Amino acid sequence: MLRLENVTKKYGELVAVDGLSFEVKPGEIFGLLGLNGAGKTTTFRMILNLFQPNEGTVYYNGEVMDYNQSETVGFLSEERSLLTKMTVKDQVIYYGRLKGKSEEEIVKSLKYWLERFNVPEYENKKIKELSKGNQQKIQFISAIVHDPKLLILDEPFSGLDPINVELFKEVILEFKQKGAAIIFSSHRMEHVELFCEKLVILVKGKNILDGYIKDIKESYAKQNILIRGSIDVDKVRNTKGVIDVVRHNGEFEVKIENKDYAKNVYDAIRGTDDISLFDVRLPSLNEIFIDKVGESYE
Amino acid sequence: MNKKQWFLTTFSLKRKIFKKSFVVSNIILLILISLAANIDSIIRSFGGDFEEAYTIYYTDEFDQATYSTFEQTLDGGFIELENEVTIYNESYEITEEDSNVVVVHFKDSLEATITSNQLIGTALYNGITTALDGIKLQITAAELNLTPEDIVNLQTGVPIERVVLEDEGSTEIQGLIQEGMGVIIVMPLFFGLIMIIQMIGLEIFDEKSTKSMEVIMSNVDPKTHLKAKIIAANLFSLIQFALIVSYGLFGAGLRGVASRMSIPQVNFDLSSYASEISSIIILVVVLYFITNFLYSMVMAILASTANEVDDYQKIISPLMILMVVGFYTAIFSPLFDGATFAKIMAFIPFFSLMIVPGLYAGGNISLGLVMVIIGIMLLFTYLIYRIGVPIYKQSVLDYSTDNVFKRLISNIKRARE
Repeated sequence: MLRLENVTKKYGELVAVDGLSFEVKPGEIFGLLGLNGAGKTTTFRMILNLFQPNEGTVYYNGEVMDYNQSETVGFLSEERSLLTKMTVKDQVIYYGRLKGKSEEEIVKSLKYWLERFNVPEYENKKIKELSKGNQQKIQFISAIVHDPKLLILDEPFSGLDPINVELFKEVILEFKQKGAAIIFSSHRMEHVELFCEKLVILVKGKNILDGYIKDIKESYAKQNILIRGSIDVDKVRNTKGVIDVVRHNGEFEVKIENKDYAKNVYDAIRGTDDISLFDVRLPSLNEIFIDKVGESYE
Repeated sequence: MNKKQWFLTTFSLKRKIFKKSFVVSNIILLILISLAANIDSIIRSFGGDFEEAYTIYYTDEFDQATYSTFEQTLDGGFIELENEVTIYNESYEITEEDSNVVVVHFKDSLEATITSNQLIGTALYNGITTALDGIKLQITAAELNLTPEDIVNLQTGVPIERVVLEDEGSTEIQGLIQEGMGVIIVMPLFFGLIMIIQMIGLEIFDEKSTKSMEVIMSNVDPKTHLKAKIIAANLFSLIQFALIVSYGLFGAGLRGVASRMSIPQVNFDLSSYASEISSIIILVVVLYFITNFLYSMVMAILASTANEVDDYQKIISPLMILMVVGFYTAIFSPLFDGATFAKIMAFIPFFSLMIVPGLYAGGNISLGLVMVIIGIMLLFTYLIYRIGVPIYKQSVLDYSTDNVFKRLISNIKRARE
């Protein structure tokens, strides 16, 4: 559905995105990760046709992305992009009409989504009268009101309380189930981990890691062992292949260089009477991200 | 015009028209224009001294009869008086109880006294002095044995036929219009222009500063967006112009109703100057719309560079200064009739609107030159459009934190790449 081929964007001497390639298929949620200034927004802007790449091409449904294809794309920007003096209805109609929908279709869809987000009374309220979280809801509704086939979500959960985060997640997963391709950017790794099948991590515009999250985690050498019981921490720490031992919530997290060293740890704690948990786990995405981004900066 | 451009244009137009401020300001305009068109009727309807009847006692010290001249001047339709007057040719000793009584005595030394208990109205006083002036002339003419023709010759000015060989018929009305150009034409044009360009500037700035521009630009290209804004503002200008004209007609209609109610009115017959006036109006309208496009485009480009209110105020200041320069040149150019400076300024497209009508009305530039100026304006406006669209494209999505002028220059450079 969406394919970026060796896309590069330069601002004068600065290379914001450097030879980036990835593909997002219908029904997939794709994570675009990176620190601030990594090139995520520039990548989104190239996908949205706001910028033309200096090199490479963005393809959508097999054709070079242009304004004729923008009607099936929905975009939720990181910052509020609402005309605050407008009413909710006028704002959503404005963006919806730009997507080629009729006013009747938009109003019908708006009513449905306002109900769904538990704010039907906001239809004729001015946006500036709404709280930050409710403005985020309206912005999200503006992005999905035309039932997009490609949904670009830049930090969709910002400003939301946990209940609304759940509501947003539910809707995003519905779009995935309907076959929409979703590109997702967030600083919250647990969200990315929960949603995305595939991701790319950008550092200074360059792709430093990409692929299916499952594969990335499995191929990532460092793993964690979760142990519950009274262990000799120093003994475990000095075991070959152990990087670190951290204690939290009455459990020990033992970081090892790779899964082959799990047996060494097991041997080190064998004989301890009260071991009730010994679980070798794949690393979290957050750990991989910090590790990879840190390495890259070094 | 494609579907999205049409939508953007109508949406922008609706945002301007279906606004409380627009409705309120137009209601106020309608009331003010209607009041201005009927101000004399309104003043009359409140009543005043002009409703009172006066009694005038006239005496003189001359050998010849002057009363009939006095009476005919005041009561014979030569002068239109607001008040009803009764005139007697007899002396009268005015007392403190006499109100609305005027005693006029004309001495043989050709001096007169006008006596009344209260100050009399200006119109009546002017009527009496006009009548006395006529009598003085009559007596002087009789002493000098002048015929009525001699008197007419003395009273009338030199008949002049003004011919300007290098021009296509400069006339009195042109001079009249030129003298009043500052107030009659330049002021509304100046404020109209400011209103329109501020409207475009603020709308673009609003969309950019709220980051809505990203969403909009992901659906339409900057060129379409820019064109829609400019067309909407000019359509708005047309609608507002039509509304003001209709308010004027409405006011005139009310005046018609008022005149049928036999309220006297002042008429100034402009029909003999209709062709000159209409040509100047057409010229003003043509220049106004070209200038509107030009300023709108420059304003759009400048506003697209601003990210914050401070930026916006800074970046539009050069344009405002430009407009003020044009305004003052237009206001002062009639004082220096034929000034070359004004003629040169008229060729600069940013100033043409405010200067050309005055120069043309005063016969200082020919129709041919006006056409050349319009040609230059069209060409310049087109060039600004061609150069401006790529700059606009760069600027609308530029949220860098550089100084706004630095940002503009860098966007101009990028647009040329």
